[in-house]
Amino acid sequence: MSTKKIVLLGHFGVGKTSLIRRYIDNTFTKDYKVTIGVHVSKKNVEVAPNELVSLIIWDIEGNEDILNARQSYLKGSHSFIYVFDLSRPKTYSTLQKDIEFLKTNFNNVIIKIVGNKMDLITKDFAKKLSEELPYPVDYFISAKLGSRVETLFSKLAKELH
Amino acid sequence: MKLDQLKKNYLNSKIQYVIVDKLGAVLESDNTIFEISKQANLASVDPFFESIITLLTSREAFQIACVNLSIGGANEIVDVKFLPQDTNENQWLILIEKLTEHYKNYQLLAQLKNTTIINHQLLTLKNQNLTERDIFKNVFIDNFNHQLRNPLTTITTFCDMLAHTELNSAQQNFFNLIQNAAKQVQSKIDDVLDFAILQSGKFIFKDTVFDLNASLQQIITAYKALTKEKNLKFSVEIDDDLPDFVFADQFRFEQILTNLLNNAITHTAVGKITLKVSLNFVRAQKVNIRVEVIDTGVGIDPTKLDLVMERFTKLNTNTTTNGYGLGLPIVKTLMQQMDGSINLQSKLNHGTTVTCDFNLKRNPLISDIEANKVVEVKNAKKPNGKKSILLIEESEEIQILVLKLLAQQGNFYVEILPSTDNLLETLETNDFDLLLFSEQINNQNILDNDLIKSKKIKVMPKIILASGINDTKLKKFQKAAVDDVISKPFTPETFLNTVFKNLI
Ligand SMILES: Nc1nc2c(ncn2[C@@H]2O[C@H](COP(=O)(O)OP(=O)(O)OP(=O)(O)O)[C@@H](O)[C@H]2O)c(=O)[nH]1
Ligand SMILES: [Mg+2]
Repeated sequence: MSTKKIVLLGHFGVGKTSLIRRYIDNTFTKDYKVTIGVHVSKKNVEVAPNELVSLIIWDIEGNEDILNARQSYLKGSHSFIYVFDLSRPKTYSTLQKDIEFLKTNFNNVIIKIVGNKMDLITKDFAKKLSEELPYPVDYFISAKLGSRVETLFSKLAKELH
Repeated sequence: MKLDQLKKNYLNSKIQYVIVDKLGAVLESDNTIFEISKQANLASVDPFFESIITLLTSREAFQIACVNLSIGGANEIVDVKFLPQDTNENQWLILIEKLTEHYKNYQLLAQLKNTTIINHQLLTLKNQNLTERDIFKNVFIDNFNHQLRNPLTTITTFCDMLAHTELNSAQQNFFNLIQNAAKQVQSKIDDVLDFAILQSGKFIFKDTVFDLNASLQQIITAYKALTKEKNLKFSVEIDDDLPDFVFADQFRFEQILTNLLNNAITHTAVGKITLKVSLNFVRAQKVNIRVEVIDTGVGIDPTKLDLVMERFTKLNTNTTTNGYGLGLPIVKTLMQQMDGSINLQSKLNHGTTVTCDFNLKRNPLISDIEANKVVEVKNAKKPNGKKSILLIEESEEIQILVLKLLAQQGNFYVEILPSTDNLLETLETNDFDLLLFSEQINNQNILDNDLIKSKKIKVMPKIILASGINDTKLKKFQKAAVDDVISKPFTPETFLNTVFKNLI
């Protein structure tokens, strides 16, 4: 079985921990407990009949500037999921800079851009936002409702395989 | 932190030594912090190590700080150093240093900083696109709102931050003054805005499930301080029978209480303010709660009682009503729009009693959620393999209940749709084993919704969450090929039994 390291990146409070809890335990809470450092969890995903990929997911503390994140956490990653909060513009204000940083410093790493808390905004707003952002948003998700959460990880697992 | 404390921390700091080979097999471990057995592979100890092992093919030392590890019951936050051994090029020395206390302190600070900043961002945003804004045409008030709220938001949020730092007593006094003044300005602005809305139309209500007791306690704490400042007694009587949770607009509920209490304080020079909250009755899904605010103040001339409740009193005849101002008219309108009632009794120079009867929605399920017990399901077998369930339900409390109940059972994935808006898309992109849907969505019977009649849904197993059952309803459910019914409020056992039964 192959093992793939995925790191979730983004500002604090955007819902990185919630997204992982939703995916792994199918739970959600409204309470916000700030993550410090890193929590690593794991989930095996069937990508084809009888073929498993083991996703090792690094949930790291949020940062308003990716350069302030501990760079040692990023080492050896196969994929980055860049999460922002659709209800807080500040959290996607650094998208361009952050993605450029990742693209220049990491080769062959799959980057997914994910807008979370879809439940808090309208579809029209999401549409308008996708046109304005410098990079296309891969998924609009809601950790609270669970929409597109499974899809995000199962598609990514297949791509990583 | 004091020096001896610091020293103690360092004395207590623990380091675990582990030697592994480059494939991650554990050769030695002194187990100072975590039980890591020899012969085990590091990969099986924790996913953190599993993802590190590929890095051991290089011969370069590296360190990873602040890692949350839980191994065999021990939960610690540690720094981990990986050092290639000179003596044996197949071997690595791993140093795990326990720094849990240190990082927990840091966590508290980060928690405070992040929540403050997020609240500040959200408040600023909220002020920018206040929903009610459309309703006012008055440019003056709009500007007034905009120009005062933003700086005020800054003042209040940074006050909150300051409150968590150490202040000496003089500073504490200044701080209290600033904080109170800011709160007063804030509530005045709210009043003016509400008054403008009052003149132009309807308030907007956002109902959620909220913790009634917590909300009351917060108000009580605040008003204990405010009454003390004026040397008034503050007496509180809260009925034990009150429900823990109700479904209503918390902001409006609190706004009414604070308006009444502010009024009472303003018009009482000596004596006491009493806040009584009691349960009138619980009926079906409704709960009726009485709030009384009693003061021993100047009172109101009985002939003017009606006047103080009218909108323009303060602005038109400011001498007769002693500045009862905007508070009561706002409260009256809010109470009306919340389907409640308000009554004012007063005796000149003896005091005033305001009685509000709130007609709120009840929340019958929340106690089950709170207990957080794993429910044993006796009458049905848990299905094999992972099951995906789509829940169409607008009530947040039921959403969370369903999520929790199924999460406790493991191996379920629940996707939630608060309305039928995205139903077709959701069905197209995902496969679900079961559909759970609420009988009423958006004030419409869901079975009358054309989307529910689509082919894809026809063939899916489906359970309806009904608000009560009767024969007519049952016939309707049968006709719509609904497989099962769960009647709200339901018990966890009933819910899980029915769900499991329909998944096999
Ligand atoms: N409405 C809504 N709230 C969400 C959603 N996802 C997360 N939240 C809330 O957002 C807050 C922050 O979520 P976290 O998952 O802790 O955020 P984080 O990115 O891990 O934050 P850091 O650990 O500080 O970096 C919590 O209060 C969550 O309940 C969502 O999809 N919708
Ligand atoms: Mg987090």
